[in-house]
Amino acid sequence: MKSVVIEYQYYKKQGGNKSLCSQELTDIASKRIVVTNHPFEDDGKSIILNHTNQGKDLGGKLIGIDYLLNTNQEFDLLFLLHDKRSPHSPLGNFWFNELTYIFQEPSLSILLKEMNKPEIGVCCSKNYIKSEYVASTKSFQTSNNEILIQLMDAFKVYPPKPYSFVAGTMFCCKWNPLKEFFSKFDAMEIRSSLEKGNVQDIGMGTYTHSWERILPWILTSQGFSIKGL
Amino acid sequence: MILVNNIYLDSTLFERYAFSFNSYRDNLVQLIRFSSIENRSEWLTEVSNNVHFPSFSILFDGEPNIENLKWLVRFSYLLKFNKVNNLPIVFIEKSDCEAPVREVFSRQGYHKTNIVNLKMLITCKIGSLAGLVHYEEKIGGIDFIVNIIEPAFTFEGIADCPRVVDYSVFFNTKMDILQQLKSLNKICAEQEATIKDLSFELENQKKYLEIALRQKETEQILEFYHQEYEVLPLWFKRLGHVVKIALGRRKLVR
Repeated sequence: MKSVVIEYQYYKKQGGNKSLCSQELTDIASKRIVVTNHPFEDDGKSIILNHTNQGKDLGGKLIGIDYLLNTNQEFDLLFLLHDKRSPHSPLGNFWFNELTYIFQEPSLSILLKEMNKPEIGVCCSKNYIKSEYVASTKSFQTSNNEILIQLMDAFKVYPPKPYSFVAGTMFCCKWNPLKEFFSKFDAMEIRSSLEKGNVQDIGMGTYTHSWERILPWILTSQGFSIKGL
Repeated sequence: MILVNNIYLDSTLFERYAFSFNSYRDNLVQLIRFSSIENRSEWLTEVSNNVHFPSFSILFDGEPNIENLKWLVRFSYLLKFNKVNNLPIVFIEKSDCEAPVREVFSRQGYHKTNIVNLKMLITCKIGSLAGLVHYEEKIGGIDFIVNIIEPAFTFEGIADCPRVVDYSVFFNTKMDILQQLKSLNKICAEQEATIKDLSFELENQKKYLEIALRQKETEQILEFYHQEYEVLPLWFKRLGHVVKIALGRRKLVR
């Protein structure tokens, strides 16, 4: 299966930024889209795109998706990564490692096998499959509840209950369902609705955090399931 | 790739043109007419894959409709797209393009877009802004080069521009200087980054010291308390309580 990686690097690293991909993932990926504004040490496999700080990592990933669509790239699997640090939380680095161990061996081979199954649309770290849906109130237990309902209707994304999503937005997914969706709904237009800067959804919902949930729902609403490793 | 009406602008022109241009990235900036890009998808692929593609700016001469403007923004995300402090520089010919261009970039998170009206740039006093300007017609696909060496004289427009037959000496000297500037700017940027990191580290150390000193102070107070009170014999402390009760400074039952 042909794979492409989109990695978003917001933070500048001393001595130049390097790819976040493991060697194994680098080996299998045919292309890597790196969205960053910092000097990047490229191994000749990357396409570097700049970004504005809008929509956090999701905004960067939408730039990558838009690029892939508009350069008519043909491939099967899309890997999404970013340099998650979450400075507001002491668990930032821990989260990154927890979310990305599946992109290393021995998990990567299992992931590829799972992605070969027609019913699987998304593969991610099993501890990060979350659901905020409360059946009794028919709402989501998050500050993003209202925006989520609004976006689901606007973009006709109706995933099955319990509306599972991948917290952290680092996962592998099938490209065709995403391609189909973003051919109908312009990624740049969606990006323009996202908040600027380092937004948080504590207290008040954001479009950025809502799209974090919607992204895997694009696949699950088309009948695919999420597999946790 | 079709390149017509190419204009190469020396990056330092922007510096003189009140932009703090990041000149170490490239010396020459290729200006590409938006209308000359026929197959946009192919062009996007070509520019993003070709590491040797020079830095470029877009002369937006298309209709300012949504589709064209989206492609303009899409091009701006390319690494080679000319930017000042990560803010894009877009050239226009018609003033009515300015507002929609600004709007579409703003919607994508750019807090500012440098829009240069090319007509103004050509017909206005480039000389007075930029010093000596070399103007060479139709050389190897380059329509003209605007290159600044030293402030020497001014002129009022391209039509008045003096033709310089042999500018190679100046040009090469200029290129050498620009190369030096490039490496110095790079060092400067690295130093700035190091300073930023060190400042951050210093702040951390200060905080640590503050806590450490406060801890020492606390230890001193505890030590003082211990020396002045805790070491006293128990019978003396109890007697002290009795005296306090006798003086009415303490109740027998709390």
